[in-house]
Amino acid sequence: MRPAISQILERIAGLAGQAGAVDTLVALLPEQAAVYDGLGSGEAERLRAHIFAALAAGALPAAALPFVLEELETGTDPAATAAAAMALRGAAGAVAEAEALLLKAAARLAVADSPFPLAPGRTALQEVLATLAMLPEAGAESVAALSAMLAQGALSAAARAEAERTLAALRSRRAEKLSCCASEAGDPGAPIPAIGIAGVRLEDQSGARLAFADFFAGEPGALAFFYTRCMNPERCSLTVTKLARLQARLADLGIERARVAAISYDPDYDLPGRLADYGAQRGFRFDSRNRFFRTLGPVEPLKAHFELGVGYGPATVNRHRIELFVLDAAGAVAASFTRRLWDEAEVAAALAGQLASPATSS
Amino acid sequence: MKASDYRARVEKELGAESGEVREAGRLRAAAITGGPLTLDQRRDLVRDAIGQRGDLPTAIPALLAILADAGQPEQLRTAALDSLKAAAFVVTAFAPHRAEFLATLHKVLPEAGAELRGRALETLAIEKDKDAQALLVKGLQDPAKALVPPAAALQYLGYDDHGGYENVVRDVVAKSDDDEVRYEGLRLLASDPKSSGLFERLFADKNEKSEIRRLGAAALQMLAPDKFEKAARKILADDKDYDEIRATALGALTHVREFARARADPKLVAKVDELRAKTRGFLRDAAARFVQRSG
Repeated sequence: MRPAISQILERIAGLAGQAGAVDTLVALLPEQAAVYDGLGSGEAERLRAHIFAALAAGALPAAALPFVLEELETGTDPAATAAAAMALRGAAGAVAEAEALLLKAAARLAVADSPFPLAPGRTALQEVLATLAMLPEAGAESVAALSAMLAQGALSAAARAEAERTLAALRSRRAEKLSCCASEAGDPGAPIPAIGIAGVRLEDQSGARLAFADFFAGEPGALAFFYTRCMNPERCSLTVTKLARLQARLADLGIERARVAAISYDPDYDLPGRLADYGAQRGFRFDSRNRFFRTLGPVEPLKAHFELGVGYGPATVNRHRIELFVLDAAGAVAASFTRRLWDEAEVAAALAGQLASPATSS
Repeated sequence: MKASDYRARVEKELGAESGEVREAGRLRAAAITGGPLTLDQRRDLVRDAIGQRGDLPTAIPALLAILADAGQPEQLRTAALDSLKAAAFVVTAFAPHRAEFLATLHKVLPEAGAELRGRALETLAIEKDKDAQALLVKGLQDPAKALVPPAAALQYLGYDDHGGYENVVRDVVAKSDDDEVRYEGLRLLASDPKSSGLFERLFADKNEKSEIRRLGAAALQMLAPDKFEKAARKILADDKDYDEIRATALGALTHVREFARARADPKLVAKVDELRAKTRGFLRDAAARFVQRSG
């Protein structure tokens, strides 16, 4: 029987100071970890906040950094966002985009601030601002954003005091802009063959049924995952909107041969009509090469094959990451864009690269 | 902030304000401390406190002080909560107070009377507050610990359709013989694909209340349109079933996405023609609409 969320949180608290605790905490971050099974989305967010807060006790391991940045970029739970900001304080060296993502989180929280249960008496926004004050690379961009925030007069007295402290800290030291790496595009490594999932049965937005390989083999394509009940406007809704933009970009580049598709994480609920409406409402143009699907059986084979970052509660998804894969002409993964918001131009370029490869052109 | 602290602050500020603002501040201070006003007058002041957008910066702290003060009459605190909820629609003005508002609602729960406690809990549930949801679930599982009646608890949990409480709710629905509790529970399950079998049974069960069967029909149509169509045809063919439910089934069949399939079914069309000719009231009207849509 699955332990109650309170028991899980007690175990996390009990890890403090133990050997191997950091590795254990990092292993709990991926959405597909067993600890998320059966949790509601609120419980999943609460768990995540506690994991980030526990990680904040020491140096932030590199493996946890993408999760922290993801939370700051698109998280909607104030406590999880605040805890991610706390964890970021332990990052080794400068982190590209940390400043921009902290400011993005602060802007979200400025109108949705909440008490931060893991630091009684403080709010989520205060924690984000406090991290910004400690960020060595924060500079002119933060000064401008915080000044504007203060000028608007929409902060609580406590948040205002924190923003003023942060501003003073930023102004008191020389702003250092560090250029650094970091892209959300994953290293594709060796292509993952699609053989194991070739026969997975799918149903598209019009009700047509086919096997995975019937659609995805033969031409390269972009495949995203989403579900129509997603509550985070920066994840599934934005993903599908960006797929529509990707279609337009591919048309501009004259590479309409590429397939653009999305598969639902939530096949029992996302019936064909729902898939069609959800795509159409976000500007996605459906035709034989551009389709949305649900699996006719369990989603597990695809979850295992693509190592999908998704967890399930009793009725639906409780948490997921952003994920888009560029598939080669054999339906194998050639590039992946996961966790962070992807850029249509980069995906289009990856598709163009696949179309130009000898295997596809021949 | 304590009421006495707030009053001291308002009195200090009054010296520096214009006559109009001073009057507004005096009224708010009176609403908190009572003064010569009756409870009804104080409640009216609280209700009117956010009438003007320009009032919000001073009105919201005053309302929060009233809500937080366990020494104030329950009606006044409830009115303050209502006004604060209205003020929350002005997002930028409310933003500086949002965190304090949520914290105050939590403080209110253990000490408030039933009416205020219920409203505070509902407000937190609308915010998808995890602690409030946990309290609601605890109350459903152990009525001795319930802060609100079970039907209200189910309604409040329904504000978060990602809450993951379907198993708890299914259990409550199965064990309860209270129609209101069952109805609220079923409403919450209406977006749960795993409950489609339950709705199929309810829709078909002639011993069920008509409102439960109609809810079953709506939920089944959304969750499993194929199963719904099959069940609806069966009900339509059963002359011993209730006209109201048959009309519901036929009305829904008239508006399915795949209407062409229904229209092309000679058995169904013959049955609809028969109903149009031999029945009365809403069942005949439903049959007429089907025929009309068939063209």
